[in-house]
Amino acid sequence: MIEVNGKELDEHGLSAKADARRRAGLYDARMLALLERDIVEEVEEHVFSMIQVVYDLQRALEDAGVRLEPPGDLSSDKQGEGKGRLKSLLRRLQTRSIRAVNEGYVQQQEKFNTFFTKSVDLSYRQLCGAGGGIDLGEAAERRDLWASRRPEWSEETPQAISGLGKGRAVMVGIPGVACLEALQEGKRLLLAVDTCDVAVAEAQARFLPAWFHPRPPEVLAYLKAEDLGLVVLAFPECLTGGELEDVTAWAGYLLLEGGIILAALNQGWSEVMAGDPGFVRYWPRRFLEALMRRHGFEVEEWEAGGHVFLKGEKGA
Amino acid sequence: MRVHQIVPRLDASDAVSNQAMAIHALLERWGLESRIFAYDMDEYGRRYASFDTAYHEFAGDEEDLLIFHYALYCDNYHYYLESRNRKVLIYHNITPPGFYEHFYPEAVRLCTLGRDLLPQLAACDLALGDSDFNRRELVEAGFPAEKTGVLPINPPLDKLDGVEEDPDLARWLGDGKTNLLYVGRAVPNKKLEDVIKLFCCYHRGVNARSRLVFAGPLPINTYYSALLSLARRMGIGDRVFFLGKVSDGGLKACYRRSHYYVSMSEHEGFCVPLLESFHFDLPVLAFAAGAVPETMGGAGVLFTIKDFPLLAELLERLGRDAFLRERITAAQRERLEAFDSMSFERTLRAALGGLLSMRGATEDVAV
Repeated sequence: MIEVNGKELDEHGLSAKADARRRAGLYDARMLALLERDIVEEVEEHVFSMIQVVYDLQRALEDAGVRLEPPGDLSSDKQGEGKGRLKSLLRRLQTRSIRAVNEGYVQQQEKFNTFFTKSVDLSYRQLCGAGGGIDLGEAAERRDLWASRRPEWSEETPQAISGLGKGRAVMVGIPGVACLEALQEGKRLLLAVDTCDVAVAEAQARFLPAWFHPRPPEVLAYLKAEDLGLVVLAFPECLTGGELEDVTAWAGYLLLEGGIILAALNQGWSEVMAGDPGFVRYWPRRFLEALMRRHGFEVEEWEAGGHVFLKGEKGA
Repeated sequence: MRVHQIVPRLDASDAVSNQAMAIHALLERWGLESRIFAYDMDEYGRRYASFDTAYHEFAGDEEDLLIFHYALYCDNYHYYLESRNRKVLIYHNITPPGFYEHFYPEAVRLCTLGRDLLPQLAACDLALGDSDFNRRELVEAGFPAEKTGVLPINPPLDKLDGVEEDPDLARWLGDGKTNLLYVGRAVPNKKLEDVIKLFCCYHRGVNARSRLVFAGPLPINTYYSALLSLARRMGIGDRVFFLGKVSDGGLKACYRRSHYYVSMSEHEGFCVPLLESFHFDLPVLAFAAGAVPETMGGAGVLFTIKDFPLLAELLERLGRDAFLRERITAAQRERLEAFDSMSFERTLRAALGGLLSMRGATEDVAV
C-alpha cells in the first residue's frame, strides 16, 4: 500500500505502467532476479570479510585464556616493580601491534574488496558465462582476456573518433560509455559488443545499443550493416587471434569504400587491473598492422587524446 | 539545582548529541546549572562536555537531576545505576542485533548487550523516548507505562540554514540529472540495498539521466563493499555515489540539489533526515517501519511493500505532476512545525517540570 499525505493512492495506473515497461524488456530477467537478491548473498559469495576473520581470531584467543590487555595496575608484580612493568609493557606492545595490524587490515579491506570483486568475481561470472554457452574449460583459458579492465579514454578521444569516416559505426570492446554516447549523438552507433558484461550493462543502462557475447564475431556475423563506415577495435585484447582475423575480414568485406577500421594500441596503457603489466597480453603492433593489410586496408598511425591507434582505410 | 546529562559521545552532527545540546541550551536559559558528560567526544564536543569520569563528584547529591541518554551499549551506564540523583532516561533506541548478523559481529555483540541491559535501567523517575515507538519499547522492557513519555527530537535546522552550501558539490549535483538522496550512516538496518534496487528500476526503466547519492559515514566495510558489488552487478556502479560523511555545507548542497529523498530503513527510532528533507522541500518516499510513520505524521509518501518497479513509476509521476509534488511538500512543511524549538521547549518543560519544580509544567507527556 502507498499513502500520499496519509491517503491511500490508487496504484492501478502505476502498476500498468510498470508492467508495460516489463513487457517492453526494460526490466530483463537478470535484473528482476537481482531485485530479489538478498544483500547477505552478496556478502557470502563476493565479499571477503577480514573483520570476521579478525573477530574470530580475537574470540579464539580470549577463549583460550589469552589476555590481550595488561592489568590496570602495573606495579602488581611482587617480584619487583621493574620486572612487572617490563612484562606488562611487553604485553601491551604485543596487544597494540596486533591491533595495529588488525586496523590496517580493516582499512585495507575496502580496497581489497573492490579489487577482489572486480577481479575474481567478475571473471567467475564470466567463466560461468550466463548466456554465453561456453564450456568452463575454454572459459578458464580466456579468463585473462575477459577480466582485463578496459582502457579509459580521455574526453578528446571519443570526440575525435566520432568525427572519423562516414556511415554507421560498430565498436568492439567498450572503453567507457563516453565514446558510445558520442557516436550515438551523431546517430552513427550501430552496435557495441564486448566480452565484459559489466561494460555492456553500463551501456545498456543508458539505452545504448550494446551486447555481451563471449565470442563477438558470432554476433557481428548476424549484423545487417548496409551503411558501415567505421569499425573501432577499442580493446582488441578481448579477442583471440582467430577472432581478430574474423572481425578484420568481416570489416574488410562490409565497410564502404573509404571506410575506416581503427585498432587501439593499448600496449603501454599501464593501469591494468592486476597492477601487473603482464596480465593483459597486448596484441603487437606488427601483428595488427599485417592483419589489416591482408584484408585490404591502407594502414597508418593515428593519435587522439593521447591514445595511439592503427587506422586502416579501405581502398577502392 | 544542577542537571547533568550523560551521553555516549558528544559530536557535531549527531542526533543524540544534538538532543543533548538542545536540552543543555534550554536548561541554561531556564537559569539552571547544566553539565554534559561523555564517554568520548570530538573537537566540537570538547567545547561543551567533560569526560564522564568527572561525573563521580555529583553522583551522591539527591537534589540533582541526571539525564541519561541511552543509544548504544557504553560502560558509562554504571554511573546511571550507581547515581543517587533523580534520574531521567532518554531512550534513542538500539538497533536489533539481527540486522548486523552477517556484516559486523562486534556490533551484534554490542547491540545484544545494549538491548539486554535496558530492563536493568528501569529504576528511574521518568523514561522518555524520542518517539512513541521508542516509548513502547521501554514499556515492553519493563518500564512502568505511567513513568514514560515522548520527547521528540528538535532537529537543528538553523545550523544547516546558517552555512553556505558546498559549491563544488552543488555544481556537480546541479548538472541537470535527477538526484535521489539518502542521508545517514550506511548500516544494514537502513536497507540501502533496497534504495539501490529502486534506483536501478528508475534509472533503467524511467530516467537514465539520474543518479543516486548516499551522504553519510560508511562504518561497516563489509556492508559497504556488498553495496558496491550489488550496484556494479546491476550495471549502475557509476551512477551510485557514496559521499561518506559530509560537512554541513555538503549536506545542505545534497538536500538543496536533490529531487527526492528515499528511505527503505526497516528500523528507525526517529529518523532526523526525514525532517531535514521536509525543511528543504524534498518529497520524501519512505518505507513504513519503526518510528518512520510517526515522524512523517501523515506527510510525504509512505509505503508498506517494496515493489521497486511500482515505486519507480511513482517517482516518474512525481517528476511530471507538479501539483502532486507541491501538495506533498506543503504537507511536509506543515508537519515540520510540530518539531520546532517552541514545541520542543514546551514538551521538555512539561516532562521535566515536576522534577525541576518549575512553573508551567502543566502538560502531561506520559502516554
